[in-house]
Amino acid sequence: MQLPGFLQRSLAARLAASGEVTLSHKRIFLLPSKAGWGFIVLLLLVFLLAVNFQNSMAYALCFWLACLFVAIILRTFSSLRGVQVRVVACQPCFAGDVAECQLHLRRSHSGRATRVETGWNQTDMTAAELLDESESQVSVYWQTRKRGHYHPGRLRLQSRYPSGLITAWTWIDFDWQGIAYPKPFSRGAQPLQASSGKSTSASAHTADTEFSHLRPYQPGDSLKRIHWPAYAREGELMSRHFGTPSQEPDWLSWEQFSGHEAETRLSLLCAEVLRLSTENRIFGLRLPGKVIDKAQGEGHRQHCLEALALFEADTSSDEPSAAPASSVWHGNTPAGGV
Amino acid sequence: MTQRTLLMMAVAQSLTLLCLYGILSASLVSTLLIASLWRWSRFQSQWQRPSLLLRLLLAIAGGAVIALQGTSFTTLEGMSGVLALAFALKSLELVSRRDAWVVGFCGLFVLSVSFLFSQSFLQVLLVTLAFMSWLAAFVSFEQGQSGSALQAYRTSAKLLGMSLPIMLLCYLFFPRLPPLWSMPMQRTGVTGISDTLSPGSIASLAQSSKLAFRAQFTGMPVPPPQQRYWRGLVLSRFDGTTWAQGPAAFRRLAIPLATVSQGSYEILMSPTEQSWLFVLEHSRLSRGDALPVADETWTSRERLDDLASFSFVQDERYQQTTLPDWQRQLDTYLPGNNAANSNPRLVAFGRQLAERYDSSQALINAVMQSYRQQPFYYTLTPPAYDNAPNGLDRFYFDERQGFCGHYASSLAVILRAAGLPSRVISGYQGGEWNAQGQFIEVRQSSAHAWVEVWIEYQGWRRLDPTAMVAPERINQDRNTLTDTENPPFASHLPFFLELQQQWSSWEFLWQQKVVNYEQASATQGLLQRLKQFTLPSTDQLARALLDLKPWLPLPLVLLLALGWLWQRRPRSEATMLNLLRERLSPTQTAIDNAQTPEQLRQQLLAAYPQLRADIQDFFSPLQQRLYQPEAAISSSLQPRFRRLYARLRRAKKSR
Repeated sequence: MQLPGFLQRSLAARLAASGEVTLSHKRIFLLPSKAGWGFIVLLLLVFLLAVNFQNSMAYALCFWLACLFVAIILRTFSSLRGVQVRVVACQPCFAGDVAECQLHLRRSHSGRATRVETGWNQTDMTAAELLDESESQVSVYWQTRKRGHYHPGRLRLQSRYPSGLITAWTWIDFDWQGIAYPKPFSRGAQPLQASSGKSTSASAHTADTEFSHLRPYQPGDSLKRIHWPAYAREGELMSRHFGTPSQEPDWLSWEQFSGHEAETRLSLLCAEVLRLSTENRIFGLRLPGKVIDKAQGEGHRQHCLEALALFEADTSSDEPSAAPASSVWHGNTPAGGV
Repeated sequence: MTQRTLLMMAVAQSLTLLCLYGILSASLVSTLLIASLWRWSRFQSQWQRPSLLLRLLLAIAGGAVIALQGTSFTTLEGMSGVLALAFALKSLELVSRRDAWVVGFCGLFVLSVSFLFSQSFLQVLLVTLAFMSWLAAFVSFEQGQSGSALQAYRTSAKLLGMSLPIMLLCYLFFPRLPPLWSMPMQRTGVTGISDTLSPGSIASLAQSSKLAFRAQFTGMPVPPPQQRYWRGLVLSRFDGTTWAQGPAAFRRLAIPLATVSQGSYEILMSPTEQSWLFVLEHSRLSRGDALPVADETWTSRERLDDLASFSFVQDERYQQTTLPDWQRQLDTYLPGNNAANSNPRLVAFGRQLAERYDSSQALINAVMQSYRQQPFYYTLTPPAYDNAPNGLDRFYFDERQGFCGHYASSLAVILRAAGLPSRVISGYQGGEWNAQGQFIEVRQSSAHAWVEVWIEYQGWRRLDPTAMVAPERINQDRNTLTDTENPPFASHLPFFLELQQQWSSWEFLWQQKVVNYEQASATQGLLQRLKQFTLPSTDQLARALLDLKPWLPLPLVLLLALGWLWQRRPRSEATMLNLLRERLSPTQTAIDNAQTPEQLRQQLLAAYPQLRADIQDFFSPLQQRLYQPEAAISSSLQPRFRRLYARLRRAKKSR
């Protein structure tokens, strides 16, 4: 939702950017929802009935509805007040993909049961239920456009709990940022599928047929790799490690793809980094003005991808073109987990 | 929408339709219930709405049901029936959240409409229940997947409880506005005494236990059962079968209002759709909006569409002592010999008596004795005389079976034939004394007709031939004759009888104090009382406490409700651990420092060594429960946790 400029400025002053926010009365706005307006119409109808028929109990019902409405306003307000919101992480993703941003919601123990919806606009929100639990984690999804840092916009938190007649909402401007890697292209300039978990393990298994060594089991290792005899012997879980660590190291360099545009080069390099790291090879990366030494492993891969993402990146490049993710992604983990 | 939400809406809709029970016909209410349950029986949010044709057919069929029951669409019943029909059929279209809101709001409106027909305590209870169910259904919309129905009901009850005190203040002090426009709607099916009387017409009322009115006496003795004659209409015009009121021109006759009186009695009329009131003999209005009519009867200035109360005093100073000629003519008139219903045998009998007796008193005694001596039999289901010519002749001389209408009509005809001015009075006789509420309750089954005869220089005197035939009909507190024909279950059990009386006295207080509450005068009265406020003596306090006796169960019920609403919910183990964790390091969230219970116990022991015993007391059963659930101990963790948590808080403060 695009707000007019003066409102944007006023909101920015009122709802200053930060990493963790406790919702207080200053930040919370309240208005009747559509159903709430319907309720007001009902109230007027019952009042007319009471007046025209001079009916005592209809008067009483009318007053009860009105007082209930006031009670609901207060209760809805208190279902958002005191809620603490914190950004857990903005997950990295490839440019053009949908990035997952995790939020941690918590209500104080004196706080009431509530249900908080989060999202970038009113039409498209994900709910976190804090009915019996006091904490909950919720993900919102941000559509990235370009590589580099992305800054998700102002987040809307709203609650209509308990009755749905009143909407209490606030906008939070977190100073959050995540990173979008270049979109990977293979050599034939074919877009490489962002590697899903299944294909990773499959390719890893076919490529690395040669047993290398045993190492202690870590969460995430495939069950197929567990060395069961060792478990039977030692009582400790070991997983078999495949691969060719002794193979000669590769160097990926900027000059390797000369003839392409800079962005295409970065995409091609990204695809190479992904390929080599899935093959568990040792490699290094040479970019103009930056050299990453030869290494292997998850940390090294991230290091290389970040270098590619931030290569000559305009820090604010992502802001104007950024857009909220479409609703397709809601409730699902995006396939492009990196 | 979840299954839970749909189920809760089904409950709310059924309750709402039940509120119309007794207002709309039972068959219509059942039809609507079935129509709405059709939707709910599927309990799924994916609902293919029935085709337009089917929906139209259903609407037409529903309309036909209403019309076939003889309800006109322009009456209030007809309109309410249409509203209820729309409300029930709307649920067949329920697909989206928006439809659910529409159904809910319709339901709330139907509830308010139901008050137009009944404002009894029971109705208010039922409506409150339905109201709470709708609110709970609304809460359930917002709960999402993880909520529970019980939580929704509790939340809605809390919200209603929160808004109740302000609602009561509004009810007490909000000024009542005059109607914005008139509602010219007729009601049907209101039972009550009609303005004419043919001998058989009261029989239909005699079966009805519907309340006609209640009367409460202050400062004057409560009349004994045989003196409880509530005069409603004076019927002087006779055409051979039917008695009607005298000519309209003669009816309005001003009678000076009495201003001083010892005691008074209050009549709280149930809605009758008519305007006449039922009062004891020689009554004068002392409070209320009513007009005097000739012959000491009264009508309300406005039609009695709602409950209304009037106060009267008994005052014999203005008794009529002379009979104008026009009235004498009217009250001795009989249809001529050529008329179809001249009842020649009764007329001849009357003339014969007039020749035999000199004094009118002796004549009256003789006629009354005839009812006792001849084998008359009181029954509500006599042979059909009403349509037969000279039906009263047949009744008095041949069949001798009938009830008050027949006895009163025949007596009046005999007396008129003997030359004594006489008329039939219709109203109520008797009424049930409610000891708890100190009032008399008169039901439709007490409808009665009797005779008044003019005795020169004395005035009108009441004669009740029914008392000669069936004295128990007159002398007993309850109408035992209808009871023996159709004995209610409760009459065999004194406890239930008492309970019934208790309920009835609540109902009276409810109608008198709450429903019939008049804002303007009550506020005035309150201000007056505040101005003249003095501390009550102990005697007055004791009496006030005694007055509160019928309300004694109420605080108990309230306490139970509050206890249910605000009872402590048992905390889950995870919540308890989180609370302790928060106490240790208030800034960190559970996700930041994921600890095992054991680690937490160690940290607590390190931080609060003085509370060692309490910490162990809580953690050892907790760990047992978490890690050996099959050997779970029976004792609850909750009190142990509360004790530990309270001590931790205090320990924090003391440091």
